[in-house]
Amino acid sequence: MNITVFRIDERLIHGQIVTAWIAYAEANQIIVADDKAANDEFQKTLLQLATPKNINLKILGVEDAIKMIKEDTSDTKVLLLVRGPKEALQMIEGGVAVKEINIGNINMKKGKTKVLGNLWIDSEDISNLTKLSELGISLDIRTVPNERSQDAMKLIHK
Amino acid sequence: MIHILVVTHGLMAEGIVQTAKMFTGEQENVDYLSFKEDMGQEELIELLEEKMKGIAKEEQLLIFCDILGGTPFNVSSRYSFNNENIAVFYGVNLPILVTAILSREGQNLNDLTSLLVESSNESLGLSTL
Repeated sequence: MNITVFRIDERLIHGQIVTAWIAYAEANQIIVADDKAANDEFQKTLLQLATPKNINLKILGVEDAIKMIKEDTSDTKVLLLVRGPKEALQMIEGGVAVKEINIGNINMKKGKTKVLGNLWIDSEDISNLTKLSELGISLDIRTVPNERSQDAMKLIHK
Repeated sequence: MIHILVVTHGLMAEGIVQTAKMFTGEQENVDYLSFKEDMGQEELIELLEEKMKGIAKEEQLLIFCDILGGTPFNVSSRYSFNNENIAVFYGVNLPILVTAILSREGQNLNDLTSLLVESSNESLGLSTL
């Protein structure tokens, strides 16, 4: 498969994905790689409801998603979604090959520091994002495709 | 009477509720909740639960959302799936909201949502001769 957009977004599939990112990625398939969602029937139903009818949706645990991505040799264009930097790093270390990761929403929770309105991080996030950057992956912060891209590492180390 | 709550991205919820009043007059039990750009999903859940606290369990609630699959829809649907006294209608527009407000008297939630689904196509279209 051809992963045209790999995005970190704690909301997984939501308005910005449905209205903008699917078209930008020219995706025929969405893969949600998330252990929590894969084991939650209720959330799976919601994710399926949120997905446009012409898009194929796969909701898999992170390890299963890695396996499926590696085994698939088709040229299907895919929008790959994970919840946070930790899962993104797990995917990359598991052998998912991309050059860039889009950062959408990493949001407000207690104990996190605000970088941007859509980006709140703690020391674990910084460590995971830094590792991704050191693996040569550029980290593009954009909530929607038409927004100006900002480099996550530059913002974090400002 | 069925309670109506409009939950949307940005200021649309407030705007559409205020505008609807131009057609319905002042109304009780019509409220709105805005999911603003810098809010997280958890904050929206807290605000929504706060709104729902003001509604007795045996009363019925119709939640209008702006877009299928959006966060207001995703969050609200969690409450409607397991509760027959709560329904979520997505793709709200002014005629649908006004119809709901004016038709809810003496109706139950099922009948009202059926009416809205049936009439929803008529509220969109191209002006032609």
